[in-house]
Amino acid sequence: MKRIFILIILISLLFFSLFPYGVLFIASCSSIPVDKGLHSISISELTIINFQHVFTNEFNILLCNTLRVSLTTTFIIIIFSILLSYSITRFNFKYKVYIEYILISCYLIPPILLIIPYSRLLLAFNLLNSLTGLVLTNTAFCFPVCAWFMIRYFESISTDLDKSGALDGASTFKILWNILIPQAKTGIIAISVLSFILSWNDISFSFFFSDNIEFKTFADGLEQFRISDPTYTNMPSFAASSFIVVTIAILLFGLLEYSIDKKFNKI
Amino acid sequence: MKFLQYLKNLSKFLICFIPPIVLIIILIFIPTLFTLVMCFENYGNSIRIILGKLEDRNFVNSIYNSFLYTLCTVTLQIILGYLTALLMFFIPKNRFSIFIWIIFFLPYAVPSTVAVISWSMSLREEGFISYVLKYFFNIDNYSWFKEYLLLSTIIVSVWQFYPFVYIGLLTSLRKIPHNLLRSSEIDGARFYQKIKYIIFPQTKKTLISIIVLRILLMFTKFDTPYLMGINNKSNELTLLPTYIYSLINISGINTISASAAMYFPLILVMLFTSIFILLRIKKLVNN
Repeated sequence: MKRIFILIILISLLFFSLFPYGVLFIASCSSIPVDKGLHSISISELTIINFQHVFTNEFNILLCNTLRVSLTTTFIIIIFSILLSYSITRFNFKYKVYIEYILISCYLIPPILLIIPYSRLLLAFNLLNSLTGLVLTNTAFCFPVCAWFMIRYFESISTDLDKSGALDGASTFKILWNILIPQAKTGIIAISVLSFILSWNDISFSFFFSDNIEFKTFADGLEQFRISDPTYTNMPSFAASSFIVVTIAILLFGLLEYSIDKKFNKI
Repeated sequence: MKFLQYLKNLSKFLICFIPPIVLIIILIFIPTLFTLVMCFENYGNSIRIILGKLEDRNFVNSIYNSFLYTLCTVTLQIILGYLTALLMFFIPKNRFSIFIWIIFFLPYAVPSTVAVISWSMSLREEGFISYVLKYFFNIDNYSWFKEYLLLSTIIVSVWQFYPFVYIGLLTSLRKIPHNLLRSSEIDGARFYQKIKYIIFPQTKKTLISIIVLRILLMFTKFDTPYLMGINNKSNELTLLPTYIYSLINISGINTISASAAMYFPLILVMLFTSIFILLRIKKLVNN
């Protein structure tokens, strides 16, 4: 009885998670306009032709931009979060507890209020309409929360390990590289995924700081297409491109989880 | 000799500490300071505009909607996230675990635009949800997306962000020592007793941190509510961030200082709340 109950909850939650993805898949495979609802589409009307039209020049640019921005942001965030977490958890100094509060309060600031200062800052460095500008703003947005989580992970690693490393004559950076980073690997991977997703899904900064399709990310580019087509005439092709982008993200996370699984054999 | 050692340690500390702090100062502190200066540089004008806005029904509605939206989304996200994490923790590992993990994580990997497109297709009058409700419960076709925009936005936001809670709690659950659970089983503890006396106390710190973060993030959420409302003529969904954006969009830079000023007291309240909760976490950690 208990098992059936657990199974029902599991299936309901899986359905809830997958449902919009399924809707997207059916919409992307439909050969007719989806005005009358997806339930009215019969299996014989499903086609893969919409996927063939996805890889247009614009879609490739958007996808490439999104990947470049997300990967660079993640790399910067991981390096800086590790440095900050190490300095906070392994060195004693006054007021270090307040840095955590500052990080949380920084994350609390709504991006909408930072748009004007950011636009002026980017304008001053000639970074409006550029991918570097998007990387910087995304880093600013994601760094506080990622650093906060990284501090939590570093705190959970016992300082005895550092001490024994130091006794064996290892330098500070050797301790960081050879002891702490391998210990915090799960946390680092989790935070990489978090920062990657935050910048991958970001729409606000691209929306405000890029006018040109050459420098827009996928989420914003798709939104511009959606606004220009409120009646959903091109919905099958939107759905097909969205489906491909989401699938890429899922495969990437699957790969990450698989690597964690292989390394730690925890799942 | 001691002084040299001190200098060596200091230089190591500074090499690690200075780069991230410079990043925070340049990318977060200076822009925030700029916003605050902007709030108060023309304070007389800002106050006048704020007082005027208090009579604006949309402004009052936006505050009410923001609180309602935050409360509902955070509560539902925590319930769903905790349930999912518990399921994943207790279900024995098998070859399908990784697929289940990915499926549960999927909503978080979906960009807001895609989530909104997908849900708006389902919540339309001709959408799948209306069809299912009509088929099984004989409820007339109804455009949930247009008529109940706030409810639709809450559903989309819960769907999008409950994996955040799930991942955070699952990490915390995996850290619980197996000996604890095993010894409770030997002592004859039931399932709910294990949850009440072992799992919940062990995950309490993480849960509080996640709740604080979710409240802050949902309260300042801009993209999902904005995208849900963009092609919709309904005025029901005006949250504080979208209201401020509409002010910036309509009236330009003069009103930005006023809108920033409107947000500022709320930021302070949330700041104090988060510091209070963080202090509680510290206290729990120390205990």
